[in-house]
Amino acid sequence: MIKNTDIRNVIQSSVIGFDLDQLRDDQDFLDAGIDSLDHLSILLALEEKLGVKKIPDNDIDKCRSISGILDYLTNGEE
Amino acid sequence: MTIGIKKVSAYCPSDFIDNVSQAEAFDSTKEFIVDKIGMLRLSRKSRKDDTTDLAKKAVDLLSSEVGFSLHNIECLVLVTQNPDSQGLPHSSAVLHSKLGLNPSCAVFDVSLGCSGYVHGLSIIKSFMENNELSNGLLVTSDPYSKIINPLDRDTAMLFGDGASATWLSNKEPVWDIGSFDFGIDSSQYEALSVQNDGSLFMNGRTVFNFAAQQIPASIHRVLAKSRISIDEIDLVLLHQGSKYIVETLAKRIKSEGKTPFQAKNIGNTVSSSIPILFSGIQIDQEKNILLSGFGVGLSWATCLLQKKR
Repeated sequence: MIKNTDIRNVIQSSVIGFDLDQLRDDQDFLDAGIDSLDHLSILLALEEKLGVKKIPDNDIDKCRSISGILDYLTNGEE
Repeated sequence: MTIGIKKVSAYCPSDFIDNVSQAEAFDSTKEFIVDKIGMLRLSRKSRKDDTTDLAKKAVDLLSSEVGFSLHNIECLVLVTQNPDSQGLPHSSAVLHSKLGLNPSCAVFDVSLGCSGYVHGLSIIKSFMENNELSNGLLVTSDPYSKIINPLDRDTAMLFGDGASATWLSNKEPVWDIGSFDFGIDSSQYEALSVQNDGSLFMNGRTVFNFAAQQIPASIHRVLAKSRISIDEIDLVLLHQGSKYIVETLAKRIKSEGKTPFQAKNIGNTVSSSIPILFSGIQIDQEKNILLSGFGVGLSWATCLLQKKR
């Protein structure tokens, strides 16, 4: 079961110099200053560090926040 | 008779696209261009120049810098996937004519993208050694401006035009060409391809994942084959896909501080990006250099160069 802290650890390791404390769970990554390339790093780190199966390209927009990722991993494709 | 590298020269057109201004049209930001893409300018060839014109300029520069006679060239290899006209005849034949090389010269193209220079080093070295040739030219020229859709944000902010020429010889080469590692994930070849309308398509996520996962492994295989550690490498010259991918790979390889990104004023010049970078290094200081190119295919090629003692 992947937890909020797991996602936060992935973001911390993927986005250099990012202040994780300022990121709310429901906040869109782009609004928080995490750009599209950092987002790619986060998605890859989910696979490599947490063993998440590759999220299809069509679904990555559902994974643009911590809560979005957790929802997606819990509920899968809708 | 071992073939090594004598000299590398590069040509980049002086015309360019201002990438920061262009980014605004794509609702991107200056920070994104400066900090992540890393390419403030994208070099552009003039309309009258074709692929072999850029290639000729690179060879002319090489010739003028080292003062060697082109008449001694016995082998000419051109790496391109954007040949003159429709690619028939092979563009290396056109280049051979423009350079006025000897008729007894072996001349052929290599169709590869960003891994093309490193593949090309192995091809021309093997070809020359097998056929006992003394002097050869490996040329790269792949102007993607010919296939970029200026409205496509995935590709329009990345690619620049450039060309390179590398002189290889068995007579007092400066660099020994060491172990190689090659590979391809052809299941994802569509991620970087020309569409039916003739324009380039790129799935940036697929290419990024491919590079981030395959290139560190490829580099480790070359290090193992060469019985050398990453700490003994002076410089890692990676394909300059973007500042972000170079920094991502440097972090994964643990080669930060010796993995330059220098495409700020030219952009991603495909198979020319590594030799353009290579042409600017101080050969007195560096002894062991890793080269790794990756992209179209999705293919990769990595090799070790060691300065002759």
